[in-house]
Amino acid sequence: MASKKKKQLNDPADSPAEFADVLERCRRGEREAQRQLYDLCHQQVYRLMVRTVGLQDAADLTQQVFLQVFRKIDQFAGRSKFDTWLYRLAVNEGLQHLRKGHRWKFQPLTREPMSNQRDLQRDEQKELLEQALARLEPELRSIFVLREVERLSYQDIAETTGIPEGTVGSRLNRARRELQQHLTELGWEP
Amino acid sequence: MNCPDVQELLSAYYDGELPDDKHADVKVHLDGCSECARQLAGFEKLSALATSVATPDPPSEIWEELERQLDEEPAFQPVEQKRRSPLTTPRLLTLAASLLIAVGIGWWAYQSWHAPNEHDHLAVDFDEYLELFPQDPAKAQQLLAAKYDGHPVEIEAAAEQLGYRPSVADGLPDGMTLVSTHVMKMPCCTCVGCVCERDDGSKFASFEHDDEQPVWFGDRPAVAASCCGKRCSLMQVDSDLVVGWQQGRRHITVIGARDLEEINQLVAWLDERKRVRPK
Repeated sequence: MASKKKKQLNDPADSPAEFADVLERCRRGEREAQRQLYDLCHQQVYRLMVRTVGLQDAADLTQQVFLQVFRKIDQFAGRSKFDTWLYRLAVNEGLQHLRKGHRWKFQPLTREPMSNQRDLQRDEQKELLEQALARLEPELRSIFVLREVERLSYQDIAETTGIPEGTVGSRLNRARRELQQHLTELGWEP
Repeated sequence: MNCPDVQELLSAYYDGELPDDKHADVKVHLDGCSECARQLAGFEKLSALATSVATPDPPSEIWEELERQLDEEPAFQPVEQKRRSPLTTPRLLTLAASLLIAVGIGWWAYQSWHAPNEHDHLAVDFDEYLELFPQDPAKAQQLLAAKYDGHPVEIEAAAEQLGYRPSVADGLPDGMTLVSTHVMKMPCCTCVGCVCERDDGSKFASFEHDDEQPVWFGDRPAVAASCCGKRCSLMQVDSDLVVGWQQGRRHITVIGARDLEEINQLVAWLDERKRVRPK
C-alpha cells in the first residue's frame, strides 16, 4: 500500500513564514501540522532526554513533551524562539520525572563477538559518559547537555532553564569539573 | 588576572561568550600558566567525548503513541480555537459582545447573590498548589493549610474533628502509605487533605470534602470518565492527573495521580474499604 507522502517542514530560520503557519495550524489542532512540527523537532527532544534521563525513559518522555507542546501551544507567544520554548518544556519534563524518584536505568551494551577494537572503544566511552552524567546533579546535567550537545548559547540556556545568564558560565564550570572527576574515577583516560 | 579569576571565566572563555577585552586578558594568562591551560585542555577533551558519542534514532512508535493519545484525550484538543473561530466577522463579534455582556451581568448577579468571591481566591491558591506540588509536596500542603486555617493531625484525630472517618483512614492500596494529614477550613466545608507516598518515594495528595469542587481548578478542561463504574472528572495538570469522584456522601479529589490504572486502583480500593467498614 502506498503511504501518503508527508510534507516536510523546513528549518524555521530558513522560512519563518512557513513555520509560523504550521504553528497556527497546530493551534487549530490540525494533525498534519502537528506531524510536521514533530518531524522537525522530535530528534532534538529525544537527544536531550537520552542524555538527561537515560535511554530507558527517553521515548516516553519525548512523547510527553509533545503532548505538552500541543496542549500549551496557545501559550507560545513568539517572544522567545520556538526552540528555547521547546527545550524549556523538555528540560522541565525531564527534571519533574527525576524529582518523582525515577532514576537513570543503565542498559549495559550488548557487544557483538566480532566487534572491532574501534567499536569496542566507542561503546566503552559511551558507557563511561552515561555513568558520569548520571552522577551529576540533574540541573547541572541539563545545562551541560544544552551546551555541549545542543550547542545553545548562554542566553538561550538562561531562557531555557530560568537561571540568570551571568550564572550559566559558573554552572558550566561546575558541571565540567565534576564530570571530569567522575570520569576519572570511572577510569577514563582521554 | 590571577588563576581564580581565570578559572571562574574558563567556561565562558572556552565557549566564546566573553567580551573581546576579557577574552584577550584570559588568553594572556593562559599563555603563561600551565595549570589553567591544563584545565582548558580538560574542557576540550570533555567536549570531544560528548560529541563523539552518537544518540540512537528515536523509535517510530513515539509518534504512533502520541497520535493515539491526541485522538483519545479531548483534554488535549485545542479548545481555544473553537472559541475563536466564530469571532471572525464584525457581525459575529457584536453578537458575541452582546452575549458576553448578558452572561456577564447574569453571572455577576448570581455571584453577588449566591456566593462570595472566595472561590476566585481558591482557584488562584490551587494554581499555586498545583505548581508547587510536583516539586515539593510537603511545602505545597503546608502553604495551603496555612491559608485555610489548617493544622497537621493524626488521622484518628481528624476523624473526631470532621465528624466522619476519612476514606484513607483505613489504609491505602499496597505500595502506598499515608504521610501527613491536615484538617482545613475551606469556604466549602471543613475538609481533610492528605499527602500519600508511593514505594518509589513519589507523592500524591488526596482531599475529602462535602461538595464537588470544580472551582479549585479554574477553567482547566475536564473530561468525564468511568473509573471502576464510578463517574470521575479527570484533568491533566502538566504531567500529572487530577481526578475527582463522589464517595458516599462526600467527594474525593486526588492530585498527582500517575495514570488511569492508578486511579482505578484508588477508586476501587476506597470503595471497597467503605463497604467493609463497620457502621
